[in-house]
Amino acid sequence: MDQHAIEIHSLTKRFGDFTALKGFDLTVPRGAIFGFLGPNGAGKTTTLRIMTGLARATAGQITIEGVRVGGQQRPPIGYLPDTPSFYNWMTAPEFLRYIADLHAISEPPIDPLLDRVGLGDVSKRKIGGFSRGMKQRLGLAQALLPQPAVLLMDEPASALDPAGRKEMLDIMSDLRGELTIFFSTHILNDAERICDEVGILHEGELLLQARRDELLARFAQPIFEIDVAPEDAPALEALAAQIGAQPWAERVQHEGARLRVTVNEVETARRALLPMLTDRAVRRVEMVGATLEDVFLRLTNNVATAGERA
Amino acid sequence: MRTFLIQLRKELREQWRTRKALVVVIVLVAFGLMSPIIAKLTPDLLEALGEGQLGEVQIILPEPSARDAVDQFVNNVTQFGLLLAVLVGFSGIVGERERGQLALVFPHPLPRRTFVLAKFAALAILFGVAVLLGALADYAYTAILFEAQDIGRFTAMVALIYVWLLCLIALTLLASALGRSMTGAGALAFGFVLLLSLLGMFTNLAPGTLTGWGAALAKEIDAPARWGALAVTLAITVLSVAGSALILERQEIE
Repeated sequence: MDQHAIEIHSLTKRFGDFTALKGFDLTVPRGAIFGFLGPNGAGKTTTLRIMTGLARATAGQITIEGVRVGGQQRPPIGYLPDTPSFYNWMTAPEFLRYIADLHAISEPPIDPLLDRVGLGDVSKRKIGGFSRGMKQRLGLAQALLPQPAVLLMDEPASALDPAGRKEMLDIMSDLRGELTIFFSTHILNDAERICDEVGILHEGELLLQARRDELLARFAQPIFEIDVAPEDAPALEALAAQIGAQPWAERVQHEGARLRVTVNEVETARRALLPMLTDRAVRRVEMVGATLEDVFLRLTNNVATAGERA
Repeated sequence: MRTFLIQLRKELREQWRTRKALVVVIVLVAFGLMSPIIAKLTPDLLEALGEGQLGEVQIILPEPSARDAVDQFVNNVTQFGLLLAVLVGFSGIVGERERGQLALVFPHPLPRRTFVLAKFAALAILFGVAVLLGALADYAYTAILFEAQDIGRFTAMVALIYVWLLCLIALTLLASALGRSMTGAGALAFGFVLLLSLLGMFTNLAPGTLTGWGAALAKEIDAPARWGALAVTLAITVLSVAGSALILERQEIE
């Protein structure tokens, strides 16, 4: 059997004159947690809607676990939309029972599933009274109920508060090895935390697809992180400009009392940078690796720059 | 068939839990009860209202009969049945699409045509029960206040009213499938109703003529049978339900 759970070939979607997806190819290994990254409007949701059969591709083909999407047979998927909307008059067990009936599951594991997503104690409450986080968790439960081989999730944690986001990511992480997870997000920290592999979509084009660790290694660039005392933070703007003008500095990010300086020549940078900091109330200078955010910004900036040049 | 029954059960439970079923049944039963009473009391009311205001002028009204009760029932049930059919039905598809519920359930094994058929069947059952209960109330009260009507003719009248209501429900469902928003679907549904009413002014084949035929049957008046209108009504109903399913099949769900 093919080692890929998902295969996307030349996926194209047009809305009138606008091309949302520009014929990209993508494969997702079986059992992976795959992060489908991209800024808002990149085409992530459109891709997921086509994968679930809610929308049709203009051209191209998607195969999930060997089953062609849009064919006679239904692919073995579970789907969690970005903001799942339920029948508010039902309780959570009633909704799951309804979904189980549609799948002809005679003895669905409703209680264990509700416990797993942390909704075991609210089984008698109407869904209409659920918070957003609870609805998201119930959405995950309904997606998992038919025991799909592939779980598709659209921005599963983006709309949640930090605690809810952590819970959702923990549950997803716990599912590792049980099934293939394909989820879209624009929050790169989430992807960096749990993904095995990522694909970066930008304006309907897949910029790259790689294993997360390989990607970080491939795009690793030395980054100096400089923390100063809070009272010295206002002076960092001038320092950022000064560093940014140096030939060895590729990019300077200024966040509060912290500067992140991406450099192209480590030794030159080290020699030049440290004297520039002597008059500052420096708390920490450290060389750190690139994050997924650094890779993402670098890739998307390159595309934007190339577009401007063209 | 199994999926259809699951979906039908969900629709019927929704009607019950959201009180839609209760409202429709109460309204139609209330008008079933009130129709013979209104027919009985109308002459007395008019007399009481006119007393002392018309001087020497006298209003002579015929003695109220079971036929007046039939007219009242047909008028009330068609007017309020129409209103209820549109109000209860127009949000059926577009509402679930707009709220995002379809995006949650359609990735599961629920064929879209089954979804539409179950919606129509649930509304047909609801209005069937409500019209039946309303008709029983009307029949019983008419028998008490006037005289028992011919059960066969009365049943034919109720059946014709029901067929006409099914046509309205199907058209409302079509509007719900076509509409891009709840407002649009509501406007379209009322547009369809208006079109049907206008059609009734020009041809005896219009669905609206069924209620008149039913009333004539119940009142034992000689009136031409409207088999053509019955065929047209059934055709519109079937085509509207099939059209709704076809439209939903082709739609992309947000």
